[in-house]
Amino acid sequence: MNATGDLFYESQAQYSSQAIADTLKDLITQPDTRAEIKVQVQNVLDGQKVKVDPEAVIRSVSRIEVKDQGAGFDSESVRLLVSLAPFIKELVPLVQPFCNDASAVAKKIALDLWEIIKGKLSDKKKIRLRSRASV
Amino acid sequence: MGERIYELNPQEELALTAQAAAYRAFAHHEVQLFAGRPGVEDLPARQQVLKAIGSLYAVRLPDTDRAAFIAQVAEHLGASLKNFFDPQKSALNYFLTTYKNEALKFSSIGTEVESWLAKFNKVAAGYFGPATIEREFPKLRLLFEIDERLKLGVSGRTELNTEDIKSADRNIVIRFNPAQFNAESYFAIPYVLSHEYWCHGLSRWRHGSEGRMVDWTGCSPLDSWEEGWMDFVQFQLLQRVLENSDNDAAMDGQVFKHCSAAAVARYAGDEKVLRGKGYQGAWALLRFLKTRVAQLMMRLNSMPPDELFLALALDLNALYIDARIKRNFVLWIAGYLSQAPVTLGPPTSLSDQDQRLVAGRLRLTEIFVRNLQESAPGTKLNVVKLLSLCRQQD
Repeated sequence: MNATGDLFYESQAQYSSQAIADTLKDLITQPDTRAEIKVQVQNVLDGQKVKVDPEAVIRSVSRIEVKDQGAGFDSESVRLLVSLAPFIKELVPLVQPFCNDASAVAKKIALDLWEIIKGKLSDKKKIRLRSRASV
Repeated sequence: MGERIYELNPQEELALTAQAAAYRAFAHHEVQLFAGRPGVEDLPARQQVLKAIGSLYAVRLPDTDRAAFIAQVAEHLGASLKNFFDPQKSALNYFLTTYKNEALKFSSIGTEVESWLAKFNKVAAGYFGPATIEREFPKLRLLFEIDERLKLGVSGRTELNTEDIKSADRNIVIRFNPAQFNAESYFAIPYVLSHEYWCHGLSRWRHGSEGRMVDWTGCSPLDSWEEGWMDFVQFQLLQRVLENSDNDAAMDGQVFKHCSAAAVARYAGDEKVLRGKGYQGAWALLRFLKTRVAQLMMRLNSMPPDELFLALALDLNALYIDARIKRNFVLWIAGYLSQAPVTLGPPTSLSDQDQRLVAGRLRLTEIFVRNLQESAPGTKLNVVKLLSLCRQQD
């Protein structure tokens, strides 16, 4: 992740960034998946010793942005940009009362949650995101 | 598994440059080399020549001095091919001499790609004159890299210039996979560059308060506008560049042949996905304009249909509006105009889906015209011309 909270990936050719962003929002609205995520979020929050309602954190997941980083002749040449910055921004005031360095903790929680969401995208929707470093 | 992405190093640049020169020499002498032999297409000697050129990348020649490298490659090619050609005939020597001359034409493969870029810039300047677009032209920078994962020998990508985050200039990255860099790849370079230049380099201009372009992130590989419609447009423009090219006929012939093949390969089995619809839509509009040229010329008073089509497509591409609006526009054009009659009158049989698309047209028109308020007069003029044409279909 770079300083601005951006992660770079590539996905299967048939999934556009818009489709991935929409699927991500779908995931947290489906009751069974949401329940699973809620348990995992609670574990992450417990690990960071912050007593925040996991539902509030899950609601903020929808702030994660998925965009195309550039355009190209073939899908192999285009990177997906996942921006956690707006998500982290919403988490900071939630965790502020429980820690000294709220932005660092929020960033850690956001990254852990993103890994959970990424796993759900793969397990439930068969969308696989592979890390793709910048040249 | 050992596959890497990195910037082109001098040794690789030399090898790709030598391969490019050898492919051009091959284009010159293809007929001469195999004259009098039956079955030119699958002749072992022909395959051997292409194999020898294709494998130059793997041959590690000791000298990195350019002149010495060119000579060493000629020796290597001569040694690899001497058993396939009659020593009494001079076809192989002619080929090697031409290779050496071709190798002197461009200092590197990068310089050669830049020469294509200069041709596109010239054509673009003709379309985006001050009368049409009164805004700053996007700055496009050319970069090169090796990607060993590419299925093709050459590909391209357009991105923001991330080295300077305050700048919104765009980088066009031409990407090579040397292991796959065959004749088809080499002669398709103009197609790849043309795609990046017209479809992505000159799309969605928006200027911030300081006058520099801002907020461009690219588009999906499935996007029907930039990847479909504009890909059709760029190929029309590329053909014009070739028609007015100062290259020799052998080179342009090969470029046209392989660029056409690249276009076919790109859309093979792609009709159902969005970018295929975009390509189909652009083709449908061009056909629509061409088949009704006499009627349209009377109504439009001056602009030839091909010119109108290209000017309109370039203006729409440059227009900074929500990508979904362009996508819907492409779907509508593909669904509506591909079934439009050649003569004036109501469309014959529209599917339910097309009828729904047509029903949304007026709404689309409103959105377009509203968004055009901020655009240059030329853009608005061309879009309004198209919309007035479409109204006459009712």
